[in-house]
Amino acid sequence: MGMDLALTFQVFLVVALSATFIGMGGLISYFGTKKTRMVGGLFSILGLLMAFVWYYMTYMGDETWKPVDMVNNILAVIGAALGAAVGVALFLVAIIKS
Amino acid sequence: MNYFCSMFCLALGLALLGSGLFTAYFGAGKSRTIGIGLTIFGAIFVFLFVYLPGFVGDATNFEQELVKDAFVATLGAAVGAAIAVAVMLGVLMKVDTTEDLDDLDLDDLEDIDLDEELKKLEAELEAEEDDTEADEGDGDEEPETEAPVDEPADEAPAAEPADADEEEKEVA
Repeated sequence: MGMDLALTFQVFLVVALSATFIGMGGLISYFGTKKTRMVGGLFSILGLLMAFVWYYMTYMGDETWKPVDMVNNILAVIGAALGAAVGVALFLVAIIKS
Repeated sequence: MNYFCSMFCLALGLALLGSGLFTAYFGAGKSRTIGIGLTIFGAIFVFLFVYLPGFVGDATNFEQELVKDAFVATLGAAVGAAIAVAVMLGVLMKVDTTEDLDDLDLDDLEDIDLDEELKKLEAELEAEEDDTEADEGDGDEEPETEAPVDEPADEAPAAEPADADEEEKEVA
């Protein structure tokens, strides 16, 4: 794995962690009560911290993660998610229609 | 184009391949045929992902380096999301959230006497069965010969015996 690929992997690991923590933490804190709500809030804060890590590594300090092409790689992730969804939908349609 | 289409092909192919193999293995008859079809389509899409960037053959539709970059990014995102979900589920299962159940309004449920409710339901069912039996009994007793011979049976007024009226009053 070359240097750029390793960077890409690191960046998207952190970005996905951050997005998942923020999204799911928000859902948990919105629908949960008492302790669950508190845990959801903590996860949201953790997600924001990870987002800050990404921002720091990309635009502040020595800009280690700057070379990673974010836009195109996000398109790749969206394409993968869309492809998987279409595949599952085709499978369900084929099974239900038979 | 390089990023989106290559990953779309790969994910679609893997999804079709996985679901097709699953259906072909566990299905029977028509389902197995559909599973084989899905597997073939999935294999075609996976082959396109391998062929178009030139990993296999001489095609140069996509640039290999970009496709590798897209693949690694998708892999990283999938691993990251999986780790996040695992961590959240682990923490939520470890944290004692039984106190949260106090907020649920369970008083109404506690007041319900299930035996009484069951008896009521049984009584209602028995009453309905009696009704249906009474209706069927009325249908059998209905004399067809009472209709005038000259008139068609459809136009003849339905003659109900006096007993049926009494039964209906009792039920009401």
